[in-house]
Amino acid sequence: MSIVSGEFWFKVYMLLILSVGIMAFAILVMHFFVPKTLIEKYFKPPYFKPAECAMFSGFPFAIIRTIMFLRILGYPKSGKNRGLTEVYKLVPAWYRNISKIIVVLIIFISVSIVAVSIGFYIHSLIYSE
Amino acid sequence: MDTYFEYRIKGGDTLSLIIFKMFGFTPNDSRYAGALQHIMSLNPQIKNPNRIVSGDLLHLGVIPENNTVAKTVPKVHSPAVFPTVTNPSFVTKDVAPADTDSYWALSWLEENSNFLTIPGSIVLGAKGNLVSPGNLSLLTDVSDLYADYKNGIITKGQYDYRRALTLTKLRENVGPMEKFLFGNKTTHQSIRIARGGGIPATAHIEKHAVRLNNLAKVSKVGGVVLIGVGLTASCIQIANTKNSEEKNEIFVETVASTSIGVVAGFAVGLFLVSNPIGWGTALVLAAGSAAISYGSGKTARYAYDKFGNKIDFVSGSGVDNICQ
Repeated sequence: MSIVSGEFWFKVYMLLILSVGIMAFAILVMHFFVPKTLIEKYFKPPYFKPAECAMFSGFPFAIIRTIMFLRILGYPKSGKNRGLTEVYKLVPAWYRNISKIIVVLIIFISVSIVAVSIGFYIHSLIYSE
Repeated sequence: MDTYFEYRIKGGDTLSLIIFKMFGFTPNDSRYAGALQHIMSLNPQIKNPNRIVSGDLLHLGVIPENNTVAKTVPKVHSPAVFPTVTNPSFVTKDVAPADTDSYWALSWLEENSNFLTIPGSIVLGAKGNLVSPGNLSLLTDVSDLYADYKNGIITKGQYDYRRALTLTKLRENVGPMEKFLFGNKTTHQSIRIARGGGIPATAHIEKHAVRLNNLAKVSKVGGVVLIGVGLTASCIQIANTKNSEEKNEIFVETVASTSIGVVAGFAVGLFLVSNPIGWGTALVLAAGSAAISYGSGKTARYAYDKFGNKIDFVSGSGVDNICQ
């Protein structure tokens, strides 16, 4: 199977989609390990707008709140705009390390899926009847 | 003499639905295959009966007694001469009268689930979060302020100022959804002390708190229900499709659009943490994620059709055993 074949890229695409499921499970696990003190101390004004606090509370949108904290925990400088650079002190080192890995994976998988999708879309524009 | 007419295919139509509407034969009916064969013979442009295009014209005619196949496409006559049955009760030969509505609802859902689930998720998600405990507590704060004022703890001026401040915060939180929550009134007009006699002073506030609380419950359940509705609709589509390749296309489209919707949500989360946003941007992001999710499903279906149709995901994953 050649690397330039459509079949190869379709298999890559489906593997990326499978990895989304695995990643979603990992994030769900991390969601249950977010320390309560962290949410109580930082998930409120002035760090977050009241509308954001309302929007990202409760299932399923609280998962997005967890992802926001994963980025802040893995990369503390990303919380500069909200004044959240000290949050990482509330979690153990293993949580910070896994947060970094998950953030990198989200970016890698999102960009890869978009790139392959654009490729398929362009193919459909050129070759579809 | 046989008579025929042209039927313009509508969005959501399938040949089985058209046969059901026109002749009252369900796929389980022994006459169904004959009707399908007859329609195919009248419409040689249709190569695959599972794929008809909305807006195209279909030739329909009375099915001959012996189900003979038409040799050529006949001359088209006015719909008026075609003896269509107008009484809808004729369609209930295989479907019990009590289940007719459910049958039509499921048929519609099978074809239109995306139009329901994607915008529905956005609306319910937004609505559920509008009436979050944080916002509801702002309503009860107004009630508490009034009690403080009446008990002499705060002055009238302090009460008015704090009430206005609290309601402005609530208004800011609900953003453009204010009209949706309070009808034609503003937040400040709706959350007010009752001046009329015979009802408690805080009756208006309590009424809105109860109403919003009920909305919140419905929304939270509704969001999860919609996810189930989307997956169930795909399952029904897979179950009702005979062609294995098309079953796999539906499967790939569903899995891809769901997964890419999820990953778009993750990406939005990563973006939001360093970029605080307002209501307008939030709605644009939500609608954009939904559009990307929908488009990706269609692209994935195309990719499967072109490059992956040797792989049988439906049988391999056991989905065909679940959706039958």
